Amino acid sequence: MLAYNPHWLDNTQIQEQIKNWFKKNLITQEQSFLIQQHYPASFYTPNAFIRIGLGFFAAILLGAAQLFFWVVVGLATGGDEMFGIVGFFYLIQSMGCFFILESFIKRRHHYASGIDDILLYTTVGEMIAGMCLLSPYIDDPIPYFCIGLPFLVIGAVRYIDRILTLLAYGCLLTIMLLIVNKIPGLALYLLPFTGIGFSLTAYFLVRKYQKLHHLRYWSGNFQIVEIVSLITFYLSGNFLFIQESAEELFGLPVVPMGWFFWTFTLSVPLGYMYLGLKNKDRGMLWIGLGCVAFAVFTFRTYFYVMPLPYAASLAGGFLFVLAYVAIQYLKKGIPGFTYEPEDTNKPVFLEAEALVVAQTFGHAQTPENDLSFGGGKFGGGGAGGDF
Amino acid sequence: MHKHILNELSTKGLISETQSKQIESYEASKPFSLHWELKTVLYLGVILLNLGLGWLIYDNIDSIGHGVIIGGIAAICIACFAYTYRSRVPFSWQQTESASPYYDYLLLLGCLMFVILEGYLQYQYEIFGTRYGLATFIPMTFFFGVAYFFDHRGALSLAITALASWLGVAVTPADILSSNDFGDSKLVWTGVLLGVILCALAFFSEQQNRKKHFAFTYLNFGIHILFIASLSGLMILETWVVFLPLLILTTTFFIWYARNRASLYFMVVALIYGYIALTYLVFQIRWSYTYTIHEGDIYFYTLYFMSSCAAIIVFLLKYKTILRIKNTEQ
Repeated sequence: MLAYNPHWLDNTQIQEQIKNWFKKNLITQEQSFLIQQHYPASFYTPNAFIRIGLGFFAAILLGAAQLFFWVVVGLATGGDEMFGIVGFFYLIQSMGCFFILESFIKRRHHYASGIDDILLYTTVGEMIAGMCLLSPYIDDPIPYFCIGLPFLVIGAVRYIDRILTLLAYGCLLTIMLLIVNKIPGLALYLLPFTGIGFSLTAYFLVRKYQKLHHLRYWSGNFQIVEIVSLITFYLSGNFLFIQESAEELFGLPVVPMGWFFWTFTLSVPLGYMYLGLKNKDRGMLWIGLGCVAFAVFTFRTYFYVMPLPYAASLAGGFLFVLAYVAIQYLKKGIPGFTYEPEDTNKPVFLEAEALVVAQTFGHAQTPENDLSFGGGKFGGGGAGGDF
Repeated sequence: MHKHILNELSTKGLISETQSKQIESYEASKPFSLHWELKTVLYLGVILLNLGLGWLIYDNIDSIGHGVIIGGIAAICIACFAYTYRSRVPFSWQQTESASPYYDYLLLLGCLMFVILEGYLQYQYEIFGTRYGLATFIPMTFFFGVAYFFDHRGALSLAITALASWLGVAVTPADILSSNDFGDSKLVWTGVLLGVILCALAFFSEQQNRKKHFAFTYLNFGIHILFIASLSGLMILETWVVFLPLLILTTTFFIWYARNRASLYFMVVALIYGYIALTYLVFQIRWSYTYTIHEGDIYFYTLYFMSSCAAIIVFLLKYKTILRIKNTEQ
């Protein structure tokens, strides 16, 4: 079922864990060396930037190769007639990509190299496009989503791919919502609860699977579903989201059961934060932070409290003080929590962090430009070239 | 997961029974770190304060309350610098530990408030008159001073942005393409100059071991402005004689840099920019030979893309052997 060598996948896990324990001085250097020898993994997994570079150039190469293929075939069959068999060509190309992908994995042991990623997405994308083009035209999106779903799932499972997992989740949720939307009269009431129910089911199923040892290779996929189901759960009950969709789909200016959705909008983010801290669940905590921001935005959309600059200043001050107090408390010592960073001294992390700091801080000077003091001719970011 | 690994290791006899117990108790009692979460909240706080207060002045510029707001912002600015000055760690040419978790963010807030104040004073009282150069020169020197004195990379980014706008170039990621008119040869040359200066500064700080960790920030601004300016020199000004050697030189420099410093980010960025230049050249040369679009052109172009990308992929797969980088743990 797995495209990658499962023993090596296990061994990479062990090696990662060993590096971590070695850094914490829990095992000796000789032991660490011996264990690395004992559990070899010969995957080709490059540095993150090399992966991006490989993916970038592999994508251009594939695009050009396909164009080349089309031109050759198009000239051979003579122009217009080939339009009807576009879908067929997609299938051939997809199969071609599939064989290249498998040989890169089997012979060159690529794993998360950028090349295997791009090949996988091309294989799945063209397979779905080809299938959809070959099937008879129907004025309803549901069958097309149903055609796509199995390929997304197979790709996600066989190649342990997180992006395909995400797409498969979105695809299944969309199918459910589209079906419920067909129920006359009740659709309006059922849609939000379909989203809520679907997300909850996915969340608890995935939590259960994550504990099963024989499914350990897919823990990354489960993690993605866990996070995205928390997001779709919140969106399914968020007032702004519901109101906008109701207006879009049913032309309703006022949503029924507004009180329920308002309670949901304001309480779920706090619930996430609370549960995230209580269960030491980092994913839930981050989603909670994001949902709090979205809840504030939702509230501001419908209730005017104060002008935006005041709100931003006050919120900024509040957040700063909040973090200050939290750090002070943590330094005094709260059992189970710490302010000390977890040891992630991987070079990739350090480089990426420096990048983010440079980009965002450098950009922090541009807001001044919005003030357009003196026509933006002096000061920070966007001064023109006229002096 | 770690329990299964522990089991596996102790049954194979690779770790002792006591070690296994130690590790287990370590994993069980490991505290939950809130480091990045709280840092993000601090950072968001600074961003929102900067946005809100900057906007507030702008909104109230002619009303009675603005004196209060200006006073408030000045007070925040002074308080930030007073705090950071008092709790600073002694100056060193090496990277220093922050005095406290808020230290970096208060310093950043102080710098941003300084920008707002300076902008206000110029708008209201025209303290620099029409000498706009001075209005960017002062924050630039101030930020460079702050960056080196307090060892702060955020202030360094602000200083580089100010240096660029003093020279008349926008370097922030969102504006680098939209706010610059690269058809202007003066701007292109300024961009090249700025890029070279920044790369030289990066090189200097590493060679002389003076704030070595600033090199990345210098180089990151430098590489993008240098490449974008030279590419526009090539494509818009069409001064091939100058910009083609410059581009080849720059790409080679960054690949060499990657070899010496094992900095793969700069190598990949340089390869992508270099590839854009190469593609442009190939298209131009092909065009100058034919001046019309031929039927066979599509073969030529697709084959060019296929072979060139394949070559770069091979290079990226084997760069360690090609550049003779010794195999070190990445």
